[in-house]
Amino acid sequence: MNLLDQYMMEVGKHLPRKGCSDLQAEIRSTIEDMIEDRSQQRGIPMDEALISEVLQEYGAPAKVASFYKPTRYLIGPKLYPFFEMVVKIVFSVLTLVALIGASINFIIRGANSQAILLVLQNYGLQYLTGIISAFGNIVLVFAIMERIQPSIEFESESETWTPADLNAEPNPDDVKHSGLIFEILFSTLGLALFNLYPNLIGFAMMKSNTWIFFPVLSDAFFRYLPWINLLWILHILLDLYLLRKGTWQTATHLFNLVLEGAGIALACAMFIGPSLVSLNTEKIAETMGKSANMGINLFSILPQMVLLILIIVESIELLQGIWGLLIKRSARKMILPIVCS
Amino acid sequence: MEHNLDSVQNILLELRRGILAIAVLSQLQKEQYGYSLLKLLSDQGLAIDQGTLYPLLRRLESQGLLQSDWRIVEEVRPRRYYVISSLGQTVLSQLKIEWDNVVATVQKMLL
Repeated sequence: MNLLDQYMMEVGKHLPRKGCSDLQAEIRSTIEDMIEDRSQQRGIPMDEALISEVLQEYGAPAKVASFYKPTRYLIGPKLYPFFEMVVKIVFSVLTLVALIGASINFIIRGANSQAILLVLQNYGLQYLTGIISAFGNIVLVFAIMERIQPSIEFESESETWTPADLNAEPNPDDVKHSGLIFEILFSTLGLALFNLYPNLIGFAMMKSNTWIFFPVLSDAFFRYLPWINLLWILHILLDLYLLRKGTWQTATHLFNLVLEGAGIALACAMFIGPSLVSLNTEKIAETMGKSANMGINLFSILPQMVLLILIIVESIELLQGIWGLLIKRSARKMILPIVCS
Repeated sequence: MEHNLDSVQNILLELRRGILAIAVLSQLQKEQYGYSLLKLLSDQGLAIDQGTLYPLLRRLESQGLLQSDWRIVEEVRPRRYYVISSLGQTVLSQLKIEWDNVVATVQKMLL
């Protein structure tokens, strides 16, 4: 194998797979033309020394190949503003949760200097781990979105804005990209949390300067988990489809209503079914002392309260969705005769 | 002083980048292979490296402004020949008009 063959093989390693052999052939052809041209001009043979000189001039294989590669981003400039916004919100929420958790511990356990130091040490570590983990998950979700949907057009307002927009009625069928990205992100985080780390869902208390963690999810909850997964995955798929289409259609409206209806049905089943929380009451009483009953009662009714709020909010959204569809259809019926006449 | 030179170089680079497409389209009235096009441009005072030219040729071809095919001419090795397409001719005519307008406008400004 001569020097040029070796060079071309090295260039090939760095070229994009698509059209690699074509690109290699073209680069080789140009190099051979350069060698031939130089040989004729100087009246010297096309030997290794001349080939080496031309290759040196042509450039390092990786650099030559880089000209043919499109610029690739982990998170591209179009998605980056949304990524930044999500990171800020998630970090703020995590900070707030950590502060509330630490405050509750201070209130229950007393705020002596040793306890403060221990709470700060443990919550600080938890907070740091949570921040890093959340950041990694957000990057992962956005990197996947960048890969599977590079063509999503996140037009900035300045690109499409006209003064007429000031008085224009907002189009209810326009897709709100940031909302969908939030939904995809939090559904993915939810799927990861409930399926991969269900034992992390619980609360921690300090006893004799050591932390004791109490997972709270019962077996009943895990019986509902496949249905929760199914609904979240369908929601993610719908959101990705909407991001691609950029607008709501009747079919996507109906599918969304079906998903919301199914979500309400599932929430109702969970509300009237066995408790989603299973607490080790003896251990909690031992750890928390007199305030144990208050904590146990709070955690027993918390899921029911959350579910009730969820059912109410989802039902309102479902009714709004149905109402919106009916209004849209009747408005179309009213417009049609005017257009036809 | 060095900073000024850098700024000049950067602006010149952007200026050249902007005119390369017109220059390449204009030189492909007659078909050329990569190296002959590089030399043709260089002989006329617009030296560019192959790392800039080939991706540009591919982009122009993907936009339908150029056509290319691999051929063996005069018993030499296979070469990829490029030539302007009919769409490229139309676009080049429009670009020439725009170019004349830009030159006239900027010249007026620089007087």
